[in-house]
Amino acid sequence: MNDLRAMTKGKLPGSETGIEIRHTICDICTPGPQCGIDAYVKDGVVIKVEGTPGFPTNQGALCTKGAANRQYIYRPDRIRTPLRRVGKRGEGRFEPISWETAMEEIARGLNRVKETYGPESVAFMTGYPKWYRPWLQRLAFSFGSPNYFTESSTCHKSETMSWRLTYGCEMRQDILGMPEVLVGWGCNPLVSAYPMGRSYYQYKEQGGKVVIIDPRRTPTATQCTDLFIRPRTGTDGYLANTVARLIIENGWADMEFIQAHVHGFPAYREMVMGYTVEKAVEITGVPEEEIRELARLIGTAKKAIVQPSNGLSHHKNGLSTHRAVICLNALTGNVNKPGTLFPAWDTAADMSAGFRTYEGEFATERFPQKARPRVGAGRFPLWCEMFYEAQAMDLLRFWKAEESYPIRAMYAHGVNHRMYPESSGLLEMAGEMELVVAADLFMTDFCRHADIVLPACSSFERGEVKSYPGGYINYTSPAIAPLYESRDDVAIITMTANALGLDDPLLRAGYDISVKHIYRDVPLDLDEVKAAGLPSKVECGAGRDYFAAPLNTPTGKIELYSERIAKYEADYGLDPLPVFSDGFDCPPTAEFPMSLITGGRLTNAVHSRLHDVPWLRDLRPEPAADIHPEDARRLGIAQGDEICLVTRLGRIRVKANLSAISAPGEVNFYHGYREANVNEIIPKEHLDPYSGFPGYKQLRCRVEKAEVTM
Amino acid sequence: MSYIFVLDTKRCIGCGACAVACMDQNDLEPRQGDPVFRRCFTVEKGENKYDPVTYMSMSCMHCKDAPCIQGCPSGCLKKDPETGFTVYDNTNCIGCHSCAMACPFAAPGFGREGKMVKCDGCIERVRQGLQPACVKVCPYQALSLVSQEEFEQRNREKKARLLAYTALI
Repeated sequence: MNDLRAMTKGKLPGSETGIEIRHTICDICTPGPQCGIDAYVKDGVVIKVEGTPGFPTNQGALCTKGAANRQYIYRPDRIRTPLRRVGKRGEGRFEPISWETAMEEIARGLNRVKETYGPESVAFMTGYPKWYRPWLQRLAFSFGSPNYFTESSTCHKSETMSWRLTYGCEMRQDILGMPEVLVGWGCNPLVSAYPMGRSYYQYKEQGGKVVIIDPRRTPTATQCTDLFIRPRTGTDGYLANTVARLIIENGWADMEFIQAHVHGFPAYREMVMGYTVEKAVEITGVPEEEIRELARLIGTAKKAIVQPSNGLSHHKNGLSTHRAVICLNALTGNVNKPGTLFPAWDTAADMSAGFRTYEGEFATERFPQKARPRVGAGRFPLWCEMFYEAQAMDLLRFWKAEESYPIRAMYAHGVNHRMYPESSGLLEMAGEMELVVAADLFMTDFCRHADIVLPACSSFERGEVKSYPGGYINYTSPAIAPLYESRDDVAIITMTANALGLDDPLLRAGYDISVKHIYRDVPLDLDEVKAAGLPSKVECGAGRDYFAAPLNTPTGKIELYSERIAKYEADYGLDPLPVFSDGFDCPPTAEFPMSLITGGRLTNAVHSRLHDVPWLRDLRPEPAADIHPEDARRLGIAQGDEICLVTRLGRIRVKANLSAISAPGEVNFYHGYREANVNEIIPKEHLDPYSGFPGYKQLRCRVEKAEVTM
Repeated sequence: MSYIFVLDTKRCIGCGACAVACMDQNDLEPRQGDPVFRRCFTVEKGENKYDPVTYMSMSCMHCKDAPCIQGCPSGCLKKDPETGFTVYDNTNCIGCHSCAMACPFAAPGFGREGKMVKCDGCIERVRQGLQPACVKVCPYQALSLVSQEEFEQRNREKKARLLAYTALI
């Protein structure tokens, strides 16, 4: 092989091979790491990807998902042109139309619904990714509808609520400030957030002590754990409150800190004194010595971090459980000092970069104050008080309920109906709308139910601004031209705003203008940031001290007793203290002797969006449930057997993976599979009354060996 | 200088990023009939919560005394003197699978045309001072490419530590 051929085959960048490296970012699992990508581009086509060396989050590496970006962006089912439905809804028959025609029809349809039923009757909805959310939110509000729905009705925002209710803002964990002990409560960062996973390894290598509390034996539990505590799913709240009692009884609570900064300690103390170790052993299944050791570790460390996870909130008792866990930090005074918790002031797109932007104002300043109440307002008032969003989990009930106004149109970007419990309900609802618009990269099942389908593009094909922890700002340029006739989501939203003739010049001016508006206080020229092509450093100083001003809670203190929740105590039965309650979907019954845990992360998937990428799917081709070998023996199930997971709503057929990932009596399954959509058998009423979040991780179920079909 | 691929099983989680980066680098499409050059495994022993779990990533080990070279009747395989990688030119490959039978790690694969293909250590990248794709991508730096000298030095240190530890107990 001659040198040039070998170099080309080896994909070496350079003028000889004609391969150029262009910087972009990965937008597959937004908005966490948003890792830097070096796209190897030849003749306008990406031929390989790598992590950008020195990038603030990924430092040159990539995760499994990010490494597959090339196959993801070139998936054959990319939507190529705007489409108009010609068949029945769901049939998938469309005809190509021009962007102009699409926009005319969208504007006509949405304005007709607005005139007939009112602007609230149009639901503006989004799934993944998240980068365009402020623009979509503003579009909804400028249109006059408060019904802006995101997939965050089921993910992360309950955690945000819990932090804000308790600490006034979200808090970040200073792991590399070397606490004496790091308790990852439900955390599996080695799989779900690898930049954090790396800090776990780094912390360990510097002599740190890691405790993982998780019903599942995750890679994090096996690879970097000194103590692995395995409660039954959904019993973490009881465990946390018992630990709190032991800390108080042993005199380990930081009373000086509590007196200065904490509200509601007496009521909290009285509540946790009702929790006993004996009962904790019975409820959680955790041995007594482990409970006492956990309390000792957190209680006696000079500094400790109790890090909660998103997963804690995916329970019917989720918000209170999350609160019970994070109260332990305040109880031990482990706040606002190195190696503990610090405030994570939001910069943009759920990221805390250390400087301020006007993203929140941009997204919400047009909120229609006079509009009729949002979907979910009557049922989840705490949610609606805390966010300018409707609670999507109430949508399926609301649109049919007689006391409410009708939802008659959906304008959706990246919506994945499989995020919804009893998922097909959303498709049925779409089927009865007067207009459904769906923008997406791929022809999803939701798109097949739309009247107008619009082709969006990937992060490789657009330019966008992102900020990163450590004070970085990045403004990408497209690494390749948008494929086919696709356009980026904000361009689509801008076109829609113009077609609707909205009285909102800023939104109608498009991305570059609005982003300069949002980042106007950042002391850098965005054009220069864009030209640099890589993250630029923003000088942001030490930042505001957490205790410099009263906290953003009703009392200005850390609230173990939440005054905000107390407002809803009488009418909604919400408890201002983080009490434990049972999180199952129904009382115990011999028919469903096991517990089903869903929604965990795989390294090769995120929700449903990577199951159709061959490189990733082939790493784990079959939808498989993790079942403990002991249960498998009892049920006569062998590795790879077909089994059925059965809840009181129905059954799905999957493969058995015999593994101690699951504890005996529990079965773990992953979501988002088209052929085995577990959310279809999760009741849509199985919701946390505080946040509206579905109890994805705690259902009564049984496992059956499937009958062999010939 | 010759190189050795080293996997730190204490850091690997079997995530498959290396396997995907390898397919991206080498344009492998298993669904179109291509073999894969790198695989990840999880091995669980026992059923209790502290029983060992081992995560592995495996590819061609680029053996010093590579049996595949001996096994090939067509002389397709050889050691690259510069890198120590086991490289190949499959022009004369007759697809007899002798190399695969000789290999203890099942590294040689057979592509759409029936000819042997396998990991070449990303030799072109390594020659330019770049890391192999699998090493570059690894989110936890579990996989590394080290020189023979560094490898031996690491081993000496490991043995010394072990010796010191045994002396202590």
